[in-house]
Amino acid sequence: MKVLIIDDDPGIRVSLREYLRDFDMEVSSAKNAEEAFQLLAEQKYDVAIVDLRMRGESGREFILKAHRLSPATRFLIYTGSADHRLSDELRSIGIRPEHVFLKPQMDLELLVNAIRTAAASH
Amino acid sequence: MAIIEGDKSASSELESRDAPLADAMICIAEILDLEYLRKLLESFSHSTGYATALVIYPEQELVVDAGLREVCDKYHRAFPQSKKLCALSRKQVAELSLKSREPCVIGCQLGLMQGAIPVVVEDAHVATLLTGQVFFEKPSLERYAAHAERFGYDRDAYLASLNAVPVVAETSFRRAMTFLYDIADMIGKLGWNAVQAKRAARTLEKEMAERRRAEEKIRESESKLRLFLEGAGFPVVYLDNKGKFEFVNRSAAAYVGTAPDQFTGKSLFDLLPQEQAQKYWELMQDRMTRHRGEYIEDEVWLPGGTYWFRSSVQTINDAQGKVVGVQAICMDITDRKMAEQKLRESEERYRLIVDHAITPIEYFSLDGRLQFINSVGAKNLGGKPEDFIGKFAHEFIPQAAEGLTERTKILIESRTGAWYEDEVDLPGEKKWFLTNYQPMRGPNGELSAIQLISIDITDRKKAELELERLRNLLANVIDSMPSILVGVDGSGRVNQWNRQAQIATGVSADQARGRMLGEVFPALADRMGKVRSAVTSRTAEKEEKAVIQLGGEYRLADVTVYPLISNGVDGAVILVEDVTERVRVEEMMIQSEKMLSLGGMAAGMAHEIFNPLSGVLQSLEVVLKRVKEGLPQNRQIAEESGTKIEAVESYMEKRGVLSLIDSALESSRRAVKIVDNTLSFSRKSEGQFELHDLRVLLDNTVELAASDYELDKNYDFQRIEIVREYRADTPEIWCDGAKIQQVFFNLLKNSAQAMADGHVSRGETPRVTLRLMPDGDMVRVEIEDNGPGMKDAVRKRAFEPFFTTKGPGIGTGLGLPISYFIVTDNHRGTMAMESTPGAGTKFIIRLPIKADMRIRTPAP
Repeated sequence: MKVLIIDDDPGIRVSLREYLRDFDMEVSSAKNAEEAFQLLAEQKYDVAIVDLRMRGESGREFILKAHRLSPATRFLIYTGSADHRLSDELRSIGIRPEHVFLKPQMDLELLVNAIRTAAASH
Repeated sequence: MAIIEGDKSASSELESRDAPLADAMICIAEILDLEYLRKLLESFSHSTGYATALVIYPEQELVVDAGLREVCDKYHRAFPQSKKLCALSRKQVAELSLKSREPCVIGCQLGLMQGAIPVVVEDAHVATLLTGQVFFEKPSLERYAAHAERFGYDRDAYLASLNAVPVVAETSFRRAMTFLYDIADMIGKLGWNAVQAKRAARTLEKEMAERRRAEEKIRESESKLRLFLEGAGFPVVYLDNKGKFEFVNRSAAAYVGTAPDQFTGKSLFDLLPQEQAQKYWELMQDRMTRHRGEYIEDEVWLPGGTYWFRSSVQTINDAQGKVVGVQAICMDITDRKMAEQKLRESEERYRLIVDHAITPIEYFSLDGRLQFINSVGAKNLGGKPEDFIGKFAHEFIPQAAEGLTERTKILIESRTGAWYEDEVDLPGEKKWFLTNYQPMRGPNGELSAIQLISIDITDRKKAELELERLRNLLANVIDSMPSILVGVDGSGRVNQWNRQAQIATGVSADQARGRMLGEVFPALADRMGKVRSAVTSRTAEKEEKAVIQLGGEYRLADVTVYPLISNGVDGAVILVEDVTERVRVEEMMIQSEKMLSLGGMAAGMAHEIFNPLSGVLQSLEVVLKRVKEGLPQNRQIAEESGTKIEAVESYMEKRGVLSLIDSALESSRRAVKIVDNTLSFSRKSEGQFELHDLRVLLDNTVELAASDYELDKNYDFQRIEIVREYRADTPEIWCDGAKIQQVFFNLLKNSAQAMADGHVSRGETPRVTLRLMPDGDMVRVEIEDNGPGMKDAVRKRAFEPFFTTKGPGIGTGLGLPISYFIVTDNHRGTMAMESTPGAGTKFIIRLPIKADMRIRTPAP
């Protein structure tokens, strides 16, 4: 299973990557949308875990663009914004509240389960 | 001289007729010639031999006698003892004869026979004619010898004298007495004539004396009168029929400036001005020809000035009734005339004033009849004075009649004037009059009439009514003002006090007026300095947001002192605007803006904190996983590293690294929770209805409250014991978690504040009990403290917006109302409160388990 983490916070990005790797996932990470698009161009990912607030292109824009480039990839949102709202566009590509995880996630295994479920859904 | 006086007892009847003898004292000698009588009696005695005598009755005095016997004359009547017997004998026979009114014959005490005939004048017994000194039989010698012995006579000589007494026959004696009877009768008749003559003489004498006295009196009174007239204080003048002065007294002369003797021989024309003299001459002629006496009053020009006299002019007539002159008695009435003239002038002036007065003047009699009305008064009534005078008020102005009667009654009682204001319905228009009712007094001070002087005050009244209307309007405006308005004079005394001032102080306008501001409005007492400086500087002084106690509460108020700057008015108006609510709204807006920005900031900050915290947490998790057995990679990499995972774990364990990491994890998680709670509270989350477990919400709120810096610092929230009584079957409910938490937070904060500083009852531990239980289709939440509870006044207003007991700047007065709004409006629940002073406060909130259909729930 290939997982892509896009987060501009290196502490989160690195620790999450390490965590997921311990669950036998092939994890790549990008610090912004631009980097992520390069990785997407190189290979397919089953699941992408996206931060919404990033420097440069936002997580929402990235998801919408990435979905067009790689429709098979499933997206999970991992955000620190308490006042987030799922936009209709995001809903239109199948993102539901259960795909949204707020930072900090106390029980990371819930996220692991969600990645597995998402990966299995396509 | 012997005087005969009539027997009073016998003549009483006569006295009542004419009292002839009582006052006509007469002596017997005046009745008849005694000498002639003696001769008559002597010749009788000589021819008959009987002794005779006339004795006055009742004195028994012997007046005339003849032929008296020696025996009687020389013995019986000469010796004292026998003399008494003689006298007694004479008296006896006289009385006997008087009683019988005819001649009677009896023996005397000495034995000789005697006869008596009464002499009667006008029925009065005035004397007795006696006769006798004889014997009818030969006397006893023994008896007379005894007499001589007894009385001391010479016996032989006495008996010889006795022997000379003749002895006669009784019949012849009685016959002789008839002659004496005629004599007595003749004397009586003579006496009657004498009495009549005497009486006539006396009457004449009396009349003469009376006339003399009367003449004397007349002379006396004439001289008195003359003296009186001469010295009289008023002029008296006699003129003869030629106009010449006959008598002029001193007073009259003085008026002409001269003495009475200067008038002698002069006439009117000599002494008075021609015209004046002529006038009096004519007057005199008139009086003399018409024999008329009457008073005249006229003005006289005399050298000393002009005088007024009231004179009585009377004709003087002689004995034949012919007019010989006139008498004038004059009285100087100059002063009275002057007074009268002045009175007339004053009356005239008064009449002019009253007639031409521009105000109505009336007089009413005490029974309500119009006695007088001036032309203005009559004109007002639509007529002339004569149309109304004599009529009763109800006949021409019915609506005022009752009032007039009433006021007359009052006036009669009080006896003093009074003022009344009336609206009077006059023909044509209504007018207002101010009328003075004045009692009019008669000469003895008794009430005689009522004077009414009216002033037309219609214009003034209209102005007053308008003023009153304006004043009412102003008072209404001032009273309707939502602010307190208090007027004070220069010395700080209240003169204006509106309704709001009354509400704020509990002092009514009537109570406040005239008292010092500080007394009735203590909260403004220290503003008097401002009042003074405002008055002095003539500029308004304003103090904003002053803390003032109004109606028992501390309020914020703008206090403005406006000096009164009109001329002659010293004082100020103090306007107190309660701006508490405005300030609170402002504060609330500021607060909510603060909260908004704080919320935004908290959200941003949370994001910024959450990222590194996430990094820490995730990293620690990874670390924890990688230093223990469990992951196959761990073992593999440990071996690659020349060790064993067990050794690593053992090392970590022994060095306490694992527990340190756990501790770091725990700290981090706590940090997350705190930031998360803050965030959920400040987060804009309308309509965020979700299924919540109230246990969690309550616990979260407690945790949040415990970590609230302000709550902990000011109210020591940590020391409050939290007791949880959650029933296990309490279901989860649909609600806006953040808002419900806000409600719980508010209630906890209130309790904490209430229980701060030992306000907890009876030294108990401050405690808040949280209860949860199902209640039908609702869940019931109870939050109860053991604090001081609320007083009635506070409890009633607890849910009122902006009501706070905490003082300005501490509470917003919005906690409970917002909570109430959230529970009842947002969640369709109920919120109630039970509180008893000293026994704590319990809030009871009931929330529906299922979300109300009207509330939009976000799609999952």
